[in-house]
Parts: sequence; C-alpha cells; structure tokens
Amino acid sequence: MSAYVAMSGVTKIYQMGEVSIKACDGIDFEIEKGEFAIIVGPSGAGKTTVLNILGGMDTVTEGQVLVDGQNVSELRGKKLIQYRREDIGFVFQFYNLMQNLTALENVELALQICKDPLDADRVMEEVGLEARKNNFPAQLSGGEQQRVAIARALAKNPKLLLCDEPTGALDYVTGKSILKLLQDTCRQKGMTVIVITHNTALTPMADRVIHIHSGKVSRMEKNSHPTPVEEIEW
Amino acid sequence: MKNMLRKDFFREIRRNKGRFISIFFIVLLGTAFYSGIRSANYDMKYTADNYYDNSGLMDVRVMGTMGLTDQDIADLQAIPGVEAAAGGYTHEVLCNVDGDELVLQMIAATEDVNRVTVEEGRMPEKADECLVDTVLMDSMGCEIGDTITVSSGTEDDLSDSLNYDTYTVVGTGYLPYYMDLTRGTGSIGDGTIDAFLVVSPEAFNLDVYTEAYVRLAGTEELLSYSDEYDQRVEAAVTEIEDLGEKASQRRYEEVRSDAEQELQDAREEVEDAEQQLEDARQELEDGRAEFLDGEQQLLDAEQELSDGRAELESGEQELADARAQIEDGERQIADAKALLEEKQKQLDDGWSQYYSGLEQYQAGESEYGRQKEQYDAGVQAYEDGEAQYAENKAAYDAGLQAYEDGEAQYAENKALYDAGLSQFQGQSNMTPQEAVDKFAELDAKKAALEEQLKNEGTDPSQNEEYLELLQEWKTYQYLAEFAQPLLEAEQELEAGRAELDATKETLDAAAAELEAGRAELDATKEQLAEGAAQLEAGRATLDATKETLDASYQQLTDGTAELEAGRAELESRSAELEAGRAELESGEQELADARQQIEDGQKELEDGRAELEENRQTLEDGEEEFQAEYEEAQPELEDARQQIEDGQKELDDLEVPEWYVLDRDMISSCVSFGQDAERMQNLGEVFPVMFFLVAALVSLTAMTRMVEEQRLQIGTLKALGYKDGTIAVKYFSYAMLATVSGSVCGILIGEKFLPYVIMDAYGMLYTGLPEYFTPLNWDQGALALLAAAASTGIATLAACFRELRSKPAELMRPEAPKSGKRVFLERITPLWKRLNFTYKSTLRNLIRYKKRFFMTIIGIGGCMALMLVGYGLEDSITEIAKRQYVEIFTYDASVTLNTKDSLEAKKAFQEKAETYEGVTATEEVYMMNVDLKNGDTTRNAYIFVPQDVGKVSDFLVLRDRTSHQLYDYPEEGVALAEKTAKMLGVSVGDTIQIQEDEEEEPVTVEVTRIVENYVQHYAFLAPDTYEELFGEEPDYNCLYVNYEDNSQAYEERLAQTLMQDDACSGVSFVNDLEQEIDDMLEALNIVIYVLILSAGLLAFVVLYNLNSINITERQRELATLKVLGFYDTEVAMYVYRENIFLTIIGILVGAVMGAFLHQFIIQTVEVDLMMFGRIIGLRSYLLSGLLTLVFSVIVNGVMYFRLKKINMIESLKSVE
Repeated sequence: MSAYVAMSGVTKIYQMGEVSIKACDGIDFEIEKGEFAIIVGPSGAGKTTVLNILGGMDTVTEGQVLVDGQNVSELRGKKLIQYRREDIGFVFQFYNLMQNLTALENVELALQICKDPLDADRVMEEVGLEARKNNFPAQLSGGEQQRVAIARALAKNPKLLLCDEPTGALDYVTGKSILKLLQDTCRQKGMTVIVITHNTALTPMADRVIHIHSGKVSRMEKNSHPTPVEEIEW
Repeated sequence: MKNMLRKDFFREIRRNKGRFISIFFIVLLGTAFYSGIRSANYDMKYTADNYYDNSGLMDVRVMGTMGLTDQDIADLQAIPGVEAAAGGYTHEVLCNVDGDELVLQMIAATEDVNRVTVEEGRMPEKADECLVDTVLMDSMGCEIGDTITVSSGTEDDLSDSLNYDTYTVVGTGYLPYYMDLTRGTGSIGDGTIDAFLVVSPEAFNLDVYTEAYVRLAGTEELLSYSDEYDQRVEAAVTEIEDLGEKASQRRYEEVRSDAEQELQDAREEVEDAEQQLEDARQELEDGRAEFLDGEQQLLDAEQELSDGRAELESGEQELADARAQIEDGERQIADAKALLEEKQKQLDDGWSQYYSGLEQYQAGESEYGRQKEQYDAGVQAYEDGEAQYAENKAAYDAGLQAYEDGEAQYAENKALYDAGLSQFQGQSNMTPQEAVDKFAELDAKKAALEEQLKNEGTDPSQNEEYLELLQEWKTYQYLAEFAQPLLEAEQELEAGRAELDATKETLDAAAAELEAGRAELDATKEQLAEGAAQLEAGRATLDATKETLDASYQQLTDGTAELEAGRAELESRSAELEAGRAELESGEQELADARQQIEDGQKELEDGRAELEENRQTLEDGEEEFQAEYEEAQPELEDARQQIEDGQKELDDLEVPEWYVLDRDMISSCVSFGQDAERMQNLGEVFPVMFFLVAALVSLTAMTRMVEEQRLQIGTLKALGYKDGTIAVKYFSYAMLATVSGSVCGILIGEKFLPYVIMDAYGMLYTGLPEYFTPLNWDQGALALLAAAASTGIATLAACFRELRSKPAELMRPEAPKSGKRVFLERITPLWKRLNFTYKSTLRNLIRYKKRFFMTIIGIGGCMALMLVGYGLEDSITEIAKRQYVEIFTYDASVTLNTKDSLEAKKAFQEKAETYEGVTATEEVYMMNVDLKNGDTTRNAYIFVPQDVGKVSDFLVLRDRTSHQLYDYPEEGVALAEKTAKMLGVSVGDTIQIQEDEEEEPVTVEVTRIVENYVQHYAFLAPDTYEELFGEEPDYNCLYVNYEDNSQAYEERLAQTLMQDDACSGVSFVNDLEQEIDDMLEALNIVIYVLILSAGLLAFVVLYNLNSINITERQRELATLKVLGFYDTEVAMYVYRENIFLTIIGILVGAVMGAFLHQFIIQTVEVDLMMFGRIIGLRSYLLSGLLTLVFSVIVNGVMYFRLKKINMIESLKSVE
C-alpha cells in the first residue's frame, strides 16, 4: 500500500535579502491514510514550514509532495487554492475564526466553498458545541473556539486535517479534550490527521511520530498501540 | 530622540511610503484649497487697491447741487489730510452710433486724481479732442482719428454746457472708477450710461465745477476696503461734510440775495404801475357815483312834484263833493220836520180809540162773571142727582143679589129634598105623611098595650101581641124617623118659594124707578154741556178784546217814543251840517296854497335837469380815456407779474444746496469688485472649511490607525522601558512631518495658484484691472497649517496615549477583537437566511466598527457633497440665462422707442413692426429705472408696464419658481421679482414705495405677487395701476416683438429695417442677452471648475486612504479566508462589498449634505443683480455620484493587488 501522504527531499529556502534561510533541508516521510500523525520538534526546526507546504500555503524550493497521489509541489495559483479549498482542513494555534460570524456560521463559511461538505449542524454536534453554535467567537472560551475551528476544518470533509499547535494556547485540561476530539475524529472517521507540536509528551497517542530537527527528519517511529489521550500525562 | 528610535522612525516612513504620501497629499490638498480660496478675497482687494493707488483713484467725490466754486475747491484743498482736490466737470450727452442712441458721460480730465490709463493713443490736449472708453471702442468699432458728434439729451442747448459738439478721438483708455463694464445710471436717454468720453476741461462751458475729486493723504498706504481705510476716509468725509454745510450756505446766500434783489426791484416797478391805474379808476368811479346820485335826486323831485299835483286835484274834487252833501243834508232836515208833525196827529187819534175799547171790555167781563155763577150752580145740582142715582142703584143691586142668593138656596134645598124623597120611596111605597101617621098610630097602640100589659102585669116581652106590635112599631119608627125631616123640608121649601116671589116683585119696581132717574140726569147733563160751551165762547171773545187793547196801547207808547227820538236827531243833524260848512271853507284856502307850491317846484326841476346833462358828458369822456389807458397797461403788467411769480417760486423752491460727499463705497465698480471679493470670502467661509475638515478627518484617521496597528511595537518599547513621551514622539513626529510638509507645499501652491485663477476669471468682468497680485497671506497659511497640524497631531497623541495607558503585557497580547454582534437585519430571518456568510460578515462589520463606518461615510459623503456643490453651482449659474431668456422672457426682441416722438409716430412704427414679414406679435412696454424702497432699504429696479395686459403673456411668463404655477399679470398692486422682494425684505401683502424721479415723492403700492426672475430687478405694474399711482399714462418707450424665425440672419434684417425708422432708437435680441449673461457668468464657472477638480482630487485621496486602512486592519481575516481556500476574487469581494456599501451610503449622504451646502453657498455667492438658480440638476447628482463611484472603483482596483500580496503565513503565524 503506497503512502497517502509522501514528502520526499523537500527543501525550503527563504531568501531574505542577502540572507537565505534553509527552513527545510530534505525532508522525507510518508503517512498512511487514516493515521494520526504527530510531527514533533523544537522551535525553528521547520515543522510549521512542513505543515504550510502540506497545506498548500507555501511552495517547496525543491522536492516532491504527494497527497493522495496528487503532486502538490507542482500546483500553482488557482490550482493551489483549489487544493486548499477541497483537500485540506486547517486548525491553527490561535483559531483564526471570523469574529463576525457565529460558531455555526464559521463552519458554514467553509462549507460554502466546498464540493462535498458535511452537514454543519452534525459536525457541531460531533465537536460537542451544538448548544453554543449560535454564539459569536468572542463569547466562547479558547477550547470552544478551537472546537469551532476543528469543526470548520472537518466540515469541509478534507483529505487531510492539519493542526498547528492546536493546544498551544489552551490549558492542560482543555488541550487534552481537544486532542481527544482529534484522536476520536481520526479513529471514528478514518480521517488522516497531522498534528504539529513541540510537546514530545503527546507522542504516545499518535499512530506515527515524526521527529524533525534542523530541517530534517531525525527519526520516525510507528506506534502500533497508541495510548488513548486520557491516559497521557504531561 | 534616541538613535535607534530615529532609525526606526525613518524606516517606518520608508517602509510605509503609501501611508506617508497619502497623508501628505490629503493635507496638501486640504490646506491648498483652504488657504487658496480664503486668500482670494484679500488678493483681489490687494490687486484692486494696487490699481487704485497707481491710478490715483479719488478717495472722496464731492458733488454740489449748485455746483462747486473755485473757492470751494480751495477750501477743500485746505482741509488737513487732503492731499489733492481737483474740480471736475461731467455732463451727460447723447450720441447716435449707427442708429443706436447711446448715452455718454463727458468727463473733464483731471491731474493728480483719477488718472486715465491710456490704452492706445494719447490724452486729449485740445478742447475738441477726446479719449474714448474702451467699452465704446469695442461696441462702436471706431478708431483713433474718427470724430464723435454728441447732442443734448435735455431741453437745454448743448452749448449751455459744452463748447463743441464734435470731438476727435485721440486715444482709448480706462478710468479707475469704471473698472467693470457698467457705467452707471444717467438721467437722459434710456437711463443707462453706455460709455464715457474724457475731454480736456476747456471743452466745458460751465461757471462752476459739477464735482470735485479728493485724494486723502496716507490712504495709499492703507488697503482700500479695509477698516483702517474706511475709518480714515470717514474722518475726512465728516470734515468735508462740515465744510460742505458752510460752503453750501455761502453759495445759497449768494444765489439767493442776487435773486431776491432782482425780484424786489421788479416787484416795486409793477406795484407803482398798478397804483397809478388804480388811482385813475378810483377817480372815475367817484365821478360816476356822483352823477348817478344827481340823476336819482332829479328823478325823486319829479316824482314828488307829480304826486303833489295829483293830490291837489283830488283835494278839489273832495271839496266839491262836500259842498253837494251839505246842500243835500239841509233838504232832508226840512222833510223830516214835516213828517214828524203828521205822526203826532195820528198818535193822538189812537189814544182816544183805545180808551173807549177799554170801557167796553170791562162791561163784558162782569157779564161773563154772572153767567158763570149760574152754570156752576147747575153743575152742582146735576152732581147731587147723580149721587142719589148711584145710591139707589146700589140698593137695587144689593136687593137683586139677595134675591138671586135666595133663589140658589131654594134650588139647593129642593134638590136635597128630592133626593131624600126618592130614597124614602125606595124603602116604602107610602108617602112620608102616611108613614108618620101610621107610626103615630102604632105608638099609640103600643103605649096602650104596655099599659095594658103593665097593668096585667105581664111581661110585654112575653106577650106575643106586643112583640108583634113592637115589631111593627119598630119598622114604622124607622120610617117615621126618616119621613119626619122630609116633611119638615117640604114645608120649609114652600115657605121659601113664597118669600122669593115677593122679593122679586119689589125689585122690579125699584128697577123702573132707577130707569126714570137716569133719563132725567142725562137731560140735565146735556143742558150743562151747552151752558159750558156758551161760557167758553164768551171768555174767548173777552180775551181777544183784551189782547187787541194791549197791542194798541203798546203801539201808541212806541210811536210817542219814536217821535221824540226823530225830533232829537233832527236837531243833531242841523248842528253837523253847520260844522261841515265851516270845514269846507278852510279846505278851499289850503288848496290855493298847494297850487302855488307846485308851480315853484316845477321851475326848480327844470334847472336841475339841465345841470345833469352837462355832467354826463364829462363822465363819459373820462371813462373812455381810462379804458384806453388800462388796456394798454394790462398785458405789460401781467407779464411782469408772471415773471415775478416765477422768480419768487424759484426763489421759494431754492433750497440750500447740498454737498454730496461720496466715498469709494459709492463707486459702483469699486463696490461690486469688493462684493465679488467678499463673495469669494463667503465661498471661503464654508466650502474650503468643509473641504479642509474632510481632509483633516481622513488624515487623522490614518494616523490613529497607524498607532493602533503598531500596538505591539508600542508595547515592546514600553516593556523595554522607554518613557511614554519618547514613544509618542515617534508617532507625533511622523504625523507632524507628513502634515507640516504637506501644509507648506499646499499653502504655497494654493495661495499662489488659486487666487490667480479666480482673479483671471473675474478679469473678464473687470477689464480695467491691469495685473493680478497673489501675495502670500501668512495669516491664512498659518491658520491652515496650524489647523492641519493640530488636528492630526492631537489625534495622534490621543491615540498614542490611549494605547500607552495599557500595561506592556496587555499591549503585547493581541487586542481582544471586537465581538461580532447580531444586527437588526438578522431579525428578518427569511432575508437573513438568504444572505451568504460574506454578506453577513459585511453587514456585521459595518455595524461593528461604528467609528470607522461614520468616518468613512463622512469622508466619502464630504467629497461627494463638495463635488455636488461644484456641479450645483454650475447648474445654478447656467440655469440663469436659460430660465430668464427662454422660459420667462418669451419675447424675441425688444425695440427701444424714441421717447421724444409723438404718439402717432409710435403707433405707426408699431404697425410697421407688426406687419413685417414673420413678426407674430408686438406689445408696447414702458420700462424705467426706478428706486424701490421699503423703509431704509432701497433697490434700483426696472418698472415694467405693458400696454395691453391681456397680451403680455405672449412676451413674459409670470410664475412661481418652485411650483411653476402661472400667474396672471397683476391687475392691482405690483408683482416683484423674487430676488427684488427678498432684498427689499418684503413679501406678498406688504407695501413698497416706488420713486421714479428723485425730485418726486415716492408712491406706495402693495405687493400682490412674487414671481420668478433671475436677471435684474423688476417691478411689474399694470397700466391702470401706473396711472393711478403716478397720475399719468405711461410713456411707452419699448416695443416687444415676437417672430417665428429665430435665425441670426432674420434678426439682422429685422433690425436693419426697424432702425431706419426715427421712432426706433435701438433693437436688442433676447438671444444676444442670453449669450451676454452666459459670458458674464463664465468667470464664476471657472472658479467652479476649480472647486470640482479639487473636490474630485480629494475624493480620490480620501477613498484610497480609507480603503487602505480597511485592508490593513483586516489582514488577518483575509488571510484566514485565503487559507480556507477562498479565491482571490472572493477575498477581494469580501472587502469590496463593504467598500461598495460604504461608498453608496456615502454618496447618498453626500447628496443630501451637498444639497444643503449648495443652498447655503448659492445665497452667499449670489450677485445683487441676479438670482442664481436654486436647483441642482439631476445630471449633477449623477455626475458627482458617478465620479465618486469611479474613484472608488479605481481605488478598489488598486487594492486588489494589495490583497493578492497578503501573505497567509506571515499573517497567521502568530499575533503580531
């Protein structure tokens, strides 16, 4: 079975005037469909760059990115936007919700541009927010906002769910429940979820853990028995 | 500032050039416009003042109603503060140019004051040379070297004022007080001065100056129109006015005493002549009276004489009559005496007769007495017999009565008896007598038996026989008892009958006796009656005799008395007669005297008549002589008297002359230029302020945003320990650098460029103005700079300190985003559900950032309003000519009539015009320049009086401006043009005064209508109203003509034809007028284009800025959308939608704001003589709206590229 997501020799160099910064320096990894993958590494290691590239927000300098058989690294312009629009769900550290739309509307906003979306109300129910779906983001707690962000990403029914430090701005308990939500989603829906974190304590819950260091994959391990989030302490 | 901060400051500018430049430009625009427009007022005045100073324009002009003498000029010069005073002459004349009658103002050239700016040629040197107004040069097309012939416009000869009537043109030029194109009003021709001619003073032939021009010391340094200047002039004016009063008095006394002396002499002469005439007349009058008196006396005497004569004659007649009467009287007396004697004899006879009669009568009387006694005894006997008879008769009657009673009693008893008898016969068949007898038998038997028995001693009862006897006895006892009375009655009846029959016999004897007594009595009675009749007759005879006797006695007594009286009368008559005879004699003497007197009178009368005849002759001669003399003297006297009266009237009317001391405020071109400058200032009051406010608002918004965006940096610096002030300095400096540099550039550009453009535009009207100055106005510049710097500076500092108040930690955290809010629209669920999320977000965004919402609306709306005002002003101005000359003045041409021509000539001309080919209608009209007054407010206006009110609607439309409701021509009162009414401050129902001539009293009339009108002031009157007000028919001086063909060729032909007629002194076409007005307003149009252009620029910059701010603020949201996979256009639309929405609202708000602003500005900019249109055309709304939209589209187009460049990763990585 070929990998669902595959990065091979991905290099990213930022040219800042005369200075060039090598954010990724030949990254190779593969992730199977339906896996819960965690990319872990210290700050500045290039994890976010990897995620941005995967999410179609950034382009590679060199190398190839395959997602469900599609060569993402070759996409440009409108095609790239289309890829983001149809195949990717993004969850940010700071939620990035539209302040002017209610929780439900934020979800629907994403659905509006999708070909094959899920039912917004159903998704809200799934993330446990049906009671608060008509509230504005500012009226929600951090965890709830993150749930909205997840719901917004899920509702698009994407191929990949990319999460950039989803618990970074949350407290322990809330963070845990968010992770649980992600893990459950992965398990129940067979969604391929990629989470970026600097917190190695979280690695036991993943099917696959990719360690990145200085723009390179330093280690990759596969976890045949992932621990449920509830049992993880950090 | 610290080194690093300085570096940061400059990097900030370099990195964000767009922001800096946009603030710079906004401030530049705002200040340029503000200071430029606001400088225009000063620059215009400065430029004008410069010209005034260079040409030595008079500060004060003095005019005297009786002119000014050399002495006056010298006195003026002597006033301290007067630099130069020059006497001048002016005179209005007519000049015929190509059949057009022009009014020219002849002006004597003066040194020092009011220098002519010679444009071409030179100043006049000889008395028959002239320099011509450039205006005339243009309109007449004459050249230097041509000659101009002028004529008098009044009844006076031209030579009274001027030495020549033909002048050679030697040059053209300007006079400083005729800077514009108008030359003021005159008193001749059509009342409007068309041009001036400058000639040398020698050309005038006047004793005194008509006016004096005064230049004051020290006014050159002052700016005309400034308060300081006004004060300086005012002080001088007061002094000149004081002088004027003295000088006027002086002049008045001079003129007056001369006139009075002359008048006095003339009056004395006339009085002498009159006195002489009067004396002569008096003499004649006396003579005539005397003569008449004499005549009367004579007539009286004659009358008296004839009266006397008549009296004499009647006296003689009377005397003769009297004499005859006396003779008559004597005869009568003799007759009477004879008669008296006869009467006496008759009387004596009468008396003797009477006495014998009396004796006879007395014997008769005694006889009568005796017979009467006899008769009375007879009567007594008869009466006794009668009484006896009555007595007997009564006794007989009583006996008869008793008999009759007895008869009745008998009948009654008989009846009773018969009844008893029959009853008895019923019981027994025996007669009663038998029954009694039987009983007596029985009784006796019984008694017998009883005795028997008694003796027997048997009981009777046991005796049967007795019993039987008893039985029978008892039966017969009963019958006896019954029969007894009957028997008695029978006896009685028989006795009664016998008595009765005896009585009857007695009675019958008595009756016969009575009968005989009666007959005797009746015979006696008859005898007595006869005796009575005899007595009666005897008595009558006696009485008659007595009466006759009495009458004769009376007659006799009367006769005796009469006779006595007659005798007395006779005696008195005789005496009377004697007296009459004496009187007669004296009357005869009197008559003789009177006759003598009359003869004397007659003589005297003859003498008087002769004298009178003599006198009459003398009188007639005298009268003839006087009449001749009088007739000769009278017309001479009348003449002299009239002259004196006229002279006196003139003298009475002679008022103390007045000096009119007029400063530059009374020079129309100075005033109108000043007003135009003020108008620019008025325009500058609102429009640039508005403009500036929009600019300031946008720039301060930009600065505030900048500070808010850099919150994190502020926090960092603060956390690093920089002081609040130091941090604020960075932003403040940024704001100041942008603002101050922008302001300085703006002020320089604005103040140099804008006033020049404006003056250049006005230059079309003020052709006399030689050059334009645009000095820098520090005050306006400083104000603009300060205001700009203050507004952005304060806003920046306020924003900084608002941020700096927070703790660094807070600052470094992202600003809590404002929460979304449900908006009102959401409540309309069906509608809301239909909207997609971007729309929802847009709507919520609009509500969420209210401050930004309003800032943007005001910004865009402000620009829109400014553009709209610009276009609206253009509308208002271009509308004037069209409305006035197409919609209101519907006539095609107006012909000025020669007022000196007769009525017939005018009629003939009208006919000629009316019958000209293509002419559809004509109407005579009276137009005159008058003063309208309401209290202290006076306005110059035309009164308009059509000849035929019914036809006037073909030539003139009277209507309401807003409703366009048509009005009939006012039959009563006056219809005022709207602007005229407004400037006079009157409305319908108020009254105004009209003064046609300064010398006449103004008339008062009610305002009955206010009508739409744009150019000039008009008062529309009906001819009847005019006549009522001014007491005369209007002298129609204009002919309005309508025709079908409006081509220029036709109009030229028409004009040529009409001008050949003497009655026509000018033709003007509405088409030309329309063009003229359009040209005139071109100046304002240029100013307006500047406004529109500036407003457009501002709108562009403002929109760019606001949009730019909008995008910067939303970067994060936009990045999120991009990440979510929104296409670029979708992202752009997210922003655009809001912008479009704001722009549209802004345009709507701006339209409303603009409409109001336009109303306000239009009224401040308006010229007195015109009313600008009040309506902004739809086209202007569309144009300014469209321009705003176009700018918005362009700006948004530029924004698209900025949107595309938004970096998702950078924007979302973390909070900045």
